[in-house]
Amino acid sequence: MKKRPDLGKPIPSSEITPKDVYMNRRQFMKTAGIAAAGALLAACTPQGTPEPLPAETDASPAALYSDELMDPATSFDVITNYNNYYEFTVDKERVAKLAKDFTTTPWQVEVGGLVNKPRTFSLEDILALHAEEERVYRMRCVEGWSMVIPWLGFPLSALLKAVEPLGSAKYVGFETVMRLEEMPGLKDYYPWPYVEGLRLDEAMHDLTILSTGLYGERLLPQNGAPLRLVVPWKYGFKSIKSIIKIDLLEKQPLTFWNMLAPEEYGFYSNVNPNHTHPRWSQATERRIGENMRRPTLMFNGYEEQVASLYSGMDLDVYY
Amino acid sequence: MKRTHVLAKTANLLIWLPAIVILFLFLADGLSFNPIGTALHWMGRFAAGFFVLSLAVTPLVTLTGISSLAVLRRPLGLAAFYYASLHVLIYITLDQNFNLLQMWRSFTSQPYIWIGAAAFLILIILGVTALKKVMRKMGKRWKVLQRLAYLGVFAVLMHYAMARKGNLFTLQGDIVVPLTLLGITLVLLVLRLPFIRKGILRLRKVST
Repeated sequence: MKKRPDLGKPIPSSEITPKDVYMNRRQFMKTAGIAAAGALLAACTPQGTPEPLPAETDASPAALYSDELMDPATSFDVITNYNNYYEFTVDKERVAKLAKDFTTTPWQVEVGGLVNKPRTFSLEDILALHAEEERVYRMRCVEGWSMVIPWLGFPLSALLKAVEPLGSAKYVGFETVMRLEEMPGLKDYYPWPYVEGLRLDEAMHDLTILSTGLYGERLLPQNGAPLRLVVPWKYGFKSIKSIIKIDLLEKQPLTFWNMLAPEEYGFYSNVNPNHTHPRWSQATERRIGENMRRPTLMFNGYEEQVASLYSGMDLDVYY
Repeated sequence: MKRTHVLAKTANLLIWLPAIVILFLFLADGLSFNPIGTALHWMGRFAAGFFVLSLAVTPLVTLTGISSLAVLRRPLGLAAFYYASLHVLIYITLDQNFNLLQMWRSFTSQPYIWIGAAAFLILIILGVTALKKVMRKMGKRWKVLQRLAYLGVFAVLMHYAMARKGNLFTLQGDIVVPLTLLGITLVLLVLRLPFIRKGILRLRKVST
């Protein structure tokens, strides 16, 4: 029997912060500050009755979401403005601006290869496959930083089951859209298009999701709209964005970063603080917004759920 | 004589401008969502930039014949040392939180860390011997020691290239900036070769 991941308490809808509050944390903090200063001034005037501050202003929206380790979610502002999406630019803080007008409708995903029922899905078809769920996952970038992200999505297995993989299918390959006129980063020297892959059992694992949103909203282009993969126990680059193609395969597919530097980015790329990465140390990480580094957890803290996928494998060989 | 003095003084002040801007942005929460990492990287970039600039002074004098520019060599070289020091200081304190064990592990297993450390050691040697007293004492040997800078600049640029996600062997990935700096540095060093320098000087004499 498959164990359901422990993803913390479900969030009652009454606690979900209205969009206009979380949309812009900086603006929100500024307004709160001005309101507080105003209240202070008002308190100094003898006759005026200071207006009470609305109750929500002291509740940080991110605090309403937390992962199962009780760490609060990273703010919406950070998640949507600090992105690695090299098709736009290598500058994390410019992706949001460059991706602003990226076309995500209509969107089609071609699912084929070793399957009984190959099919081209529209985004609407995909959304109809399975109810969306909130999944608050840690995201660990191979660059040594991490976030906690409240994704909206559904298990990839739901989509794969719909096309009925053949017995010969052992791997799943994914491909990101390539749109030269909208993605200026495609001019850089990389082996485009961005491709990724999983072993079929990894792809079928319940933690592996296709995400369509975060913080209860549709994904923004900088986060991989309209449809991206999220594999929380692997380094962030495995979670391929803006997917247009999914292929069931017999052989292990090529993956983008592995083509660039095979000794650094293995096919598996499971978060592993014990494996010596030739370029960067992976022993610690900086959670965005924190001042002290944290020790990195084996499989990004999902060891209990996923370690069995790799039993008997030498993780220094299959890194 | 007076004008070169002013030039050196101005350079001595201006080299601090980037550090002040970085510090101001850091305190004003304007240095990205990962301010420690960004401050660390900018100090490193300026260290590398000043290092390359300091090596550009002599070729510039050769090419232009404006010998008063030579006074810029010292402030620019020292700036490379100062920014490298700030870079290392941020690394040890804010970035690694004094985690000596972790830093030792990185030092022994990550080539770009020990290449960076070697570069910093060279900059320390050049920085300390830049004290006027030491310079005087060393006499002729000082000039020989300064040649360590050529090794140092390559160590710095290697450290930089390896910290970025590029592959210099397959020429893919994030390689444009590191390769450009490497190319500029190579040109600057070639311009220093005695026979090339003399050739340029001769050409200039002929043309004037």
